[in-house]
Amino acid sequence: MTTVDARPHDVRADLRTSFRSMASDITFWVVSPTDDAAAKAAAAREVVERVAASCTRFDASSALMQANAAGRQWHTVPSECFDAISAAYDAHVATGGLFDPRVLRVLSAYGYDTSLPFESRRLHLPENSGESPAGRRRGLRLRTWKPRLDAGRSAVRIGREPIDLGGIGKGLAVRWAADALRGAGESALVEAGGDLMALGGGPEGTGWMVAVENPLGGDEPAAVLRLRDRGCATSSIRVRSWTVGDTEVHHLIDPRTRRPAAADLRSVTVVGADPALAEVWSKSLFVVGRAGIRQAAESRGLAALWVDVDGRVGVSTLMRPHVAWQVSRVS
Amino acid sequence: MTDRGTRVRWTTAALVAPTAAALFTGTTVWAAGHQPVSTTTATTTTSAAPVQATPTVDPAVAALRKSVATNSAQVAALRKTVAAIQAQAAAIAGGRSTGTTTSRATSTRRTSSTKIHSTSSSGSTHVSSGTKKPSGGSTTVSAPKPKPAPPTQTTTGASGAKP
Repeated sequence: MTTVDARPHDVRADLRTSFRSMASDITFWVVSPTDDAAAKAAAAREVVERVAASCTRFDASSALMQANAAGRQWHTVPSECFDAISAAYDAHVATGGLFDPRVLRVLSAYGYDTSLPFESRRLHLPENSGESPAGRRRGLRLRTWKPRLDAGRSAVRIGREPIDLGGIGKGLAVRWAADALRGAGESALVEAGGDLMALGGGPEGTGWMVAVENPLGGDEPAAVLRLRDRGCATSSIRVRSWTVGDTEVHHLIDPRTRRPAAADLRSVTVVGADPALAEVWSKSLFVVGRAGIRQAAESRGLAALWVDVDGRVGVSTLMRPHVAWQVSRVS
Repeated sequence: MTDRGTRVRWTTAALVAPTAAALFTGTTVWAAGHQPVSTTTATTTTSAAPVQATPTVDPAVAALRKSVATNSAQVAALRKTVAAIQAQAAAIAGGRSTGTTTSRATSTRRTSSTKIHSTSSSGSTHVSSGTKKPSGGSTTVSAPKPKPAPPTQTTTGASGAKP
C-alpha cells in the first residue's frame, strides 16, 4: 500500500509505502521524494521480499531450510541467503559466540516451529520432544560454529546443527532496503517490526524521532531517540513469550546454555551505523543479562538502552547523545 | 675583769643568742609562707630596663587582631546573605514574589543541557531538555512536572514473529 502525505514542510508530498512481510509490517517513508522515489521504493520492497522468501525458517522449501537439510553437504543458495549466512557467521565471531544462529532445534523443541500469533493472545505450547530431545539438544553448549562458504558458487555448508536467520535476516533486509532508498528523497525511514534505518534528518530536518517501546506494556515509551543516518534494533520478550507445560519461555536463546536467556532484562535497544549489527548486538546484550550489560556495552563501544525486569532504564555512554527524552523507570 | 662580770656577760650572751636565732628563724618562716601584696609588685620588680609609658604591640598580634576584625565583618555579611536567602525560600514556598532578595539569590541560570527531573506522582524521573528553576530555590520547592514524550515518527520494540 502506497500513500502520499502532504505536510506543511514538504516541497513535495512524502512517499509512504507499507506492506506485510517477514511476519511484520514493513514501512518505507521518504521525505520530499525525488522523481524516481517510487521506483526506488519498489526495488527496496523487492529486496525485503527476496530476503523473506529465502531466509524464512517457517517454509521447508526456502533456501535456508534446504541448506539446513543439506547439513554438511554443499548447497547453493540465492545471494541474499548466502550473504545472510555469511553475515551471521561474522556476527558469531564478532560477539565471541554470544550471537549463535544454531538455535533452531531449541526453539522447535519449545514448540516454536511455525509462525505463531504471539501478539493476539498468550500461547501455551506443547513441548516438541520429537524434534529435539530435551536432554540432548538443550542445555548443551555447542562448539564454535564454522560454516563453509563459497562465494564464487554462492554455496554453503552449514553443518550438522540447523540455523535460524530470523533476527539478522530482518536487520539485513532493512539495511539493503535502505541502500535501495538512498537518494529517493531528502530523508527516508525503513522500519520492519522494531528494526529500522533512519536516513537523513526526517520530516523536521532535526532527526527521526523514534520511541523505544515500554516492554512492560505501559503506554508511555521508555525513551525517545533522535536518529540521523543510524540503524536501530530492539530485542524484547514482551511479545514472543509463551509457556511450555508449566515453564515460561521466550525466543531469545542463550547459546551458552541453549535455554531461554535469563529474563532479568525485558528489552535491549542498540543504535549503530548498521541495522543488522544493531540487531545482533541487541540480542547479544540481552543474553549477557542485567548484571553485565553495562560493562559489556561500554567495553564494546555500543550505544545501548535497556529495561530490566523491575522497569529500570539503563543507558550506555554512547547512547546518551541519541536520547531526546527518557524515563528512568517504567511500569 | 672579774670572774663575776665575765660570768654575767656569758650568761647574757647564752640567753640572747638563742632568742635572736629563734626570732630570726621565725621571721624567715613567716615570710616564706606569705605572698607579697599585689600592690607592691611594682616595687618588687627587679627588671633592669625601665618601664615605658606606652607599651609596644607585637606585629604578629596586631596582624591577628586585624584578621579577626576582617573575618568578623565577613561573618556578619554572610549572616545577612543567609537571612536573605531564607526569606526568599519562605517567599517561594508561600507562592509569593522574590523581588526583595539579593541579586545572587534572584539570578536565574538557564541551561540547554539535558536534565533529569524527578516526578512527584510516580517516583520516576524524566530526562529532558529544558530550563532550570531559579537557583535560589530550596528543597521545599516542588519538583517540576515531567515533560511529556515528544512526538515520534516510529517505534522500536518487540516485533511479531520473524521470518
